[in-house]
Amino acid sequence: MYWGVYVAAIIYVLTVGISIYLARRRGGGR
Amino acid sequence: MKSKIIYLLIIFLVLDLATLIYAVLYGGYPPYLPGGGDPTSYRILYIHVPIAWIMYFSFTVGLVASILYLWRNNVKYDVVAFKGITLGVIYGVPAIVTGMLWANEVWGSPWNWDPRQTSTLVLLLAYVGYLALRASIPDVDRARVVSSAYSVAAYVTLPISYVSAILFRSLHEQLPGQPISGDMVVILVIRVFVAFILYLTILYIYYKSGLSGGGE
Repeated sequence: MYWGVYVAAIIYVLTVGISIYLARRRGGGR
Repeated sequence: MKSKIIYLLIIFLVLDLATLIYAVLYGGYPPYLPGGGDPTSYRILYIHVPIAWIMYFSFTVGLVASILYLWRNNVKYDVVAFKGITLGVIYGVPAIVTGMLWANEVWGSPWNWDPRQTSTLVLLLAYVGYLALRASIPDVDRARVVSSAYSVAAYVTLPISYVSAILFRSLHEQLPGQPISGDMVVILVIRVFVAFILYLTILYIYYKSGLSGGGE
């Protein structure tokens, strides 16, 4: 299978992870 | 209430990851691509499309909330706008990168200065500008008003990005013209739906954290 599919999946998981981290952080910037 | 939303977050996260893994490993793809390239690259669609639509949605949330803030002068709207746009930028980067992974295989090179690629990059930079502008103004109330006005202006780049692939000679295919079968549509719809409810849950938690922490 095209390797880019796996990379895209990892990037998606990282995106969701960063979003959740930001959302759970108290305050969350200004 | 707080623990209830965390449970929902966990449930939607598990659903999202399960559909992601299924789409990556078992998602359908056409027997061949008209332009050449590995047909399995089609599975990127199950990742790229939800991300790109969430990015557009996020910036639209930012627009509506900014207008409401300027109109009603209620800080809650400004918090929604800021959180929505921040998530829009976070989803915007992978929207472009996953598109590049697709382009790398199907269009022959990751970056082609294609109208869709270029206009989406401009869109993303416009909203990075929103975050920079907001952070650069020390006075909080002033930062809210200025960045809300900026967000309304920056939104002009979104419809340009959206229609760029239709109006201009673009390599970017639109869904109706895709060699896409019924089972692929089902997986795509499920992926978009699950990714959206997860995103909305994250946005809600992010919004609440902004209120409880003062949003500053």
